[in-house]
Amino acid sequence: MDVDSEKARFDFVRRVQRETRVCIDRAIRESDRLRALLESSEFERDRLEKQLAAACDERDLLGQEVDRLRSSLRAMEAENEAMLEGYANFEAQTTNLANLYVATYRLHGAGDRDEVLDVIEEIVANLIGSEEVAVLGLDPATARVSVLRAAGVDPSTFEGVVPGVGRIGRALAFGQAFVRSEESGTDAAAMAISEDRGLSACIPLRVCGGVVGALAIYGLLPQKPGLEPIDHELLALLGEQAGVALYTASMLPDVIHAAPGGGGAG
Amino acid sequence: MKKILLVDDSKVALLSERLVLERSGLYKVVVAADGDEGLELASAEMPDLIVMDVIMPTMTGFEVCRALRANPQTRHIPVVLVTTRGEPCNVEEGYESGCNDYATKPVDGPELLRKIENLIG
Repeated sequence: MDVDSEKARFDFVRRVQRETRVCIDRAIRESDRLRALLESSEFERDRLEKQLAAACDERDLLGQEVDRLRSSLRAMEAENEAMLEGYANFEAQTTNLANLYVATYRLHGAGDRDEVLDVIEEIVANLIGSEEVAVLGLDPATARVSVLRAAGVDPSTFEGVVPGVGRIGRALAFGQAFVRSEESGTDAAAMAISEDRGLSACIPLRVCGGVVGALAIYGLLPQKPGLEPIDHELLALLGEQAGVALYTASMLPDVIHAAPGGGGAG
Repeated sequence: MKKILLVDDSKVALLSERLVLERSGLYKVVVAADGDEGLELASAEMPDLIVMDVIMPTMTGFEVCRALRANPQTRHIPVVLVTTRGEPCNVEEGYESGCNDYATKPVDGPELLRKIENLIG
């Protein structure tokens, strides 16, 4: 082997050694960089995992708070609904009381018998809801029945009324009130008596406990499905007050006539 | 306080509706006993709303409503007609006469207040 080729081999080996060292150094630096990066990533992962756990805890707490608020909202809504219902009931009761007041005030404010009968008709139409009404009078001495007012009903309907017979007759003779309800149904006995057909209510009109007449109400207005508790109260009031108002009104002309400065003073 | 004109030939209806409206504390009430007086008071008092019965002597509620609409001074006043007849044909005639809403007798106080509130609340 000649000297030149030996030197060339030596140079080649030295070059390979140098380049290998450079590569190794680079690999070591890259390894260090990657190890540092890995450590940093692991640290970041730990930090994020902790943050995630905290966020999950917070989410759970917020979920609980949302549940609590929802339940509180439901309770408030229920309370609000109950209050609205209570208010509506209060309003309805106040309106009912107002209607009772109106009925009493108007009945006793009427100046004569015709006006009392007008008021009864108006109360039945405007507060109860029927335009088919009759006011019957009963002479306690002779048991004779007379038609004082018939609106929306043929007065001849009452020609055959016999005190004690039928719903109207029982109201006149025994003071028995009748108010149609779902349970009333259609009983055959009532259907056999012409004046009882289609009767929604019949109440005796009283003065000092005695019966002086009856109020008969037939068909209700189309928008009125049936008689309600307030109607029962109004009917009871009419039973107690309308008779008295009729009686008082029939005496008024005599009272006015007899009073100083009245018609009789001349 | 807003002013409401009640027109009805029934004193029972007038008193009952008046109590409902005045008790609410929201309205001042003026009353008329028939259509003619209703028309006069509508022009003189210029109410914010009129609640009027349909069946009245001399002029029906429909006729009063048409007269109100024909008068430039009163044509804008909302009218709620109150009637014993709540059938669709009557309601339709009411709207054709120019009413804004309808209530049937016996008047439900809270419902009447809601209807008024919807129109002038």
